[in-house]
Amino acid sequence: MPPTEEHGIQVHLEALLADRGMTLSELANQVGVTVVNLSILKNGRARAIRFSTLTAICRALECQPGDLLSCPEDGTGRS
Amino acid sequence: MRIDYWSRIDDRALEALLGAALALVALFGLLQPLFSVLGAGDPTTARTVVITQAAVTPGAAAGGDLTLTGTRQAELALRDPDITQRILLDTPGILASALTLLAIFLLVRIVRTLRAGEPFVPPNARRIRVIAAIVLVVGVLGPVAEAITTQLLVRGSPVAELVAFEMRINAMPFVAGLLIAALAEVFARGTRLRQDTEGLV
Repeated sequence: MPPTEEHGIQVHLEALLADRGMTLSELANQVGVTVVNLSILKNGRARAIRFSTLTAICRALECQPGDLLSCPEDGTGRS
Repeated sequence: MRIDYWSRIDDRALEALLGAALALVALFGLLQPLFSVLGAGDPTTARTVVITQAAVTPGAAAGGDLTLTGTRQAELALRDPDITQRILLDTPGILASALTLLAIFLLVRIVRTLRAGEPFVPPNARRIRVIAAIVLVVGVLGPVAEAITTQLLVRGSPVAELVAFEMRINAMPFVAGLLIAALAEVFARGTRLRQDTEGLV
């Protein structure tokens, strides 16, 4: 893995959960990831995500990776 | 299905065991010899030594304070050792016990990180390196201290020429020390791996 560096990836987990009327705990149960880790992801503090986790989240939320993650064109985290 | 063979109860049990070992070494390896050196308990009066020829007991007939009995190995016994002699008799054991105490204390600190679920941290790699150094040092320092203090005990006495200056250095502490040093490197690599995956979900 590269050394610690800021990234510009935005995570839209909170919006997706609100849209589907699902709580973080419910998602954690379905996905098999701890609430703590999902919280890290939701709050933008994650540095990396496993493909297996990404797959499980997309299946649980019935969405595509592009719905969950986005990268603004200027890469600053601002849309 | 993942089976965890090690549980929190095992962490507690290990910590309790190490705590008991710490107490026993402190009591019998350090405090008791210190008290006996100061004259507060039964002093150590004898030590096994290597001798250069079949033993005689020069000076015994004359009522000397030192007697030597045995063949290749002998027991060097002191009748009513003074404080200097008591220090010389107990110094190797006290040194080894002090270093052993430090090693056990460091192990306790490592086990506590196990309980917290974070064993691969830089302090643990450092602690294991120190334990490796302790094992190596005790392996060398112990026999050296014993040989030097033995010679100081018999210096100027009728048995001085019979007692060999021999350091019985065992290979096992070296092997064990090297193995533990290798384990320290494993922990150091594990620490770097953990840092690499921090923030990974």
